[in-house]
Amino acid sequence: MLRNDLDIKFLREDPEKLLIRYQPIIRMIVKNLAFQGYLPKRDINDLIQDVNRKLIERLPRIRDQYNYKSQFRTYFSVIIRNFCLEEFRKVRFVAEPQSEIYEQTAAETSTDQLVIRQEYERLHRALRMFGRERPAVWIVLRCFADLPVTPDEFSGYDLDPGADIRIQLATQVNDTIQLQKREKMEVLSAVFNHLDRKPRTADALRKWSSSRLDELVILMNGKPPRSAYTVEILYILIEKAEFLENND
Amino acid sequence: MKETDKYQNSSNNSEHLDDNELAQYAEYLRHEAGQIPGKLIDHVASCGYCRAELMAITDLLDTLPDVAEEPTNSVVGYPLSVAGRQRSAKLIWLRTTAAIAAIFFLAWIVQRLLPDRPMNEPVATNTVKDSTSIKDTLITNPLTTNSLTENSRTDNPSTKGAKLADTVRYAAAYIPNPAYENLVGAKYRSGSDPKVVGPNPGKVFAPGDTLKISWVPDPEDEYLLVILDNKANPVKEIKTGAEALLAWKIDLKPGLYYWKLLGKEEMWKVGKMKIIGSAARR
Repeated sequence: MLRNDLDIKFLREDPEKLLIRYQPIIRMIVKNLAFQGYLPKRDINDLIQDVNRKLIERLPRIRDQYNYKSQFRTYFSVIIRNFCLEEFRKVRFVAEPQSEIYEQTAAETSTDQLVIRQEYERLHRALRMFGRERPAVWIVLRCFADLPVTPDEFSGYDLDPGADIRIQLATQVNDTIQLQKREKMEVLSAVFNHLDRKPRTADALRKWSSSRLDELVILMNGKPPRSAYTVEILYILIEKAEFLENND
Repeated sequence: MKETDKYQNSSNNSEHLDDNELAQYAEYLRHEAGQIPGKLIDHVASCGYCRAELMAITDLLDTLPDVAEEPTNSVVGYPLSVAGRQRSAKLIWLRTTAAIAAIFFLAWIVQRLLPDRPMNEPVATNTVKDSTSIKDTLITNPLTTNSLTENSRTDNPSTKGAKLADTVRYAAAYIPNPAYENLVGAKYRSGSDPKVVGPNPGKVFAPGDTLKISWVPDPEDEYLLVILDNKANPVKEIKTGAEALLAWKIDLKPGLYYWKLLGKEEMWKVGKMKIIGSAARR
C-alpha cells in the first residue's frame, strides 16, 4: 500500500498508529522551529509532548477536515506546524538564530554547490507564487543582476507578443547590462508597457520592482529569518546556480 | 479559505488559504501535484501573508523525513488523494511486475540448486557429489521424520510445492541465531570463570554422538546445561552437580543448536553445534 493510502487508512481506523508513525516528523518539525529561534532548545521534548496531546484531542476534527486533495503527509505537516506555532505563542520567543549563517567559509565545496542548487530551487518556488507577475519579477531581477535574458523569458504573458518581438525585447534588456539602474528602469518600463499594453512610468516600475524584490528577499530569508539574503546576494545566487548548471 | 486577522504580517486580504489549500499549494510548489485551482494561484499572487506561509511550509517539508510505506493488499474504502491515485497506478504496476519477476527468479534458483524429492521423502544435502551417489547422501528431514528411506525419486508434479516447503523448513533449521552467534566464544569475567571447554563451534555431530563439556567446578555452584534450537527455544536441560565433565548423548533432530552452561547466577559459556542426519555422514 502506498504511503498516502496507509496514512489515510490509519487516520480512519487507527489514529494511534498514525501518531506513532508520525513521531519522527513531529519531532523534526518541533526541532526545526526551535532551531529557527522560536523557543529555547531545551524545551523541545516538552513541546513534542504538548503537540502530541493536542493531536490526540483534535484528530477527529483533522480527519473530518482533510479534503484528500493533497498528500496526507503534507496536510498533517501543516497542521503540526500550526500546533507548534500555537504552543510557541504561549511561551516567550527566544531568538537563537542559526549562527552558521554568518560563519560560512569561503571555500566552495560540493556541499556548497548542493546548497546553491537548493536555494536556487527555493528562489524559483518563491517566484512561482507571484503568479502572473512572475515573468516580470524574474526579468527585473536578471536585468538588475546584469545577467542576460532570453526571448523565452518574455513568454507567459496573457498577450503573447510573438517570437520576433520577444527577441527584440530581450535584446533591448540585454543592452542595459553594465548601465546605471536609472537607465535600466527606462528600458524596462518601455518593455513592460509593450507587454502589458498599459502605460507605466519608470518611477512606478521602480516602486513595484522594489517592493517585489524586497518581498523576495523576505521570502528567501524565511520567517523567522533563517538566512541573511539581500537583493545583491540573490544576484550572486542566480549567477552561481547558472554557472553550476552550465558546467554540469 | 478561512478568515483571519490575527497576523501582523497579513496582507489586505481578509481571507487566507486554509490548511488544506496550503497543503495543496505547497505540493504544487514542490512539483508533487499537477495543476491547482486558479483561485488559489490568484490568491497567492495577491497575498503576501500566504506567500510567506507557503515559503515556510515548503521549507519545512524539505527537511522532513519520509514515513514508511508498507506493502499490503487491503482495500481502503474511502477516497484516496488525487496525487496518491496518480502515483499508485504506476507504482502498483511496477511493484507487481518486480515481485512476480523476483518469485520466478527465486524459484528458478531453488530449482537449480536442489535435487528433486517427493514430499515426506528424505532431503538431499548439498554434499551430493554426483547423481549416482544421491542415495548415500540422503538425510532425514528434521521436521518430519527421522527415518531414512531409500525410496526412489518421483517426478510427480503435485509434490513439487511440498518439496519446496520441506526444503525451506529444513534450511530454516540451520539459520544462525544472531543473538546467540554473538555469545558464542565470548569471554567471561575472569574472577570465578570455571574455564568451560566445549566442542569447537564448527564441529558437526550426528544423533547418537556425545557432546562433551568440561570445566573446573566450584563446589558451591550448581551447573545446568541448556540446549537451544536456532530460534532460541530451549529443547533440553541437563542438570549436573559438582562434576567436572558432562557427556551427553545427542538425541536431537538435525539442525543448528546452541548450548549454554549456566551457574547459579551466571551464564558461563555459550557454544554451538550443528547436527546432521547420521546417514549424511556415511
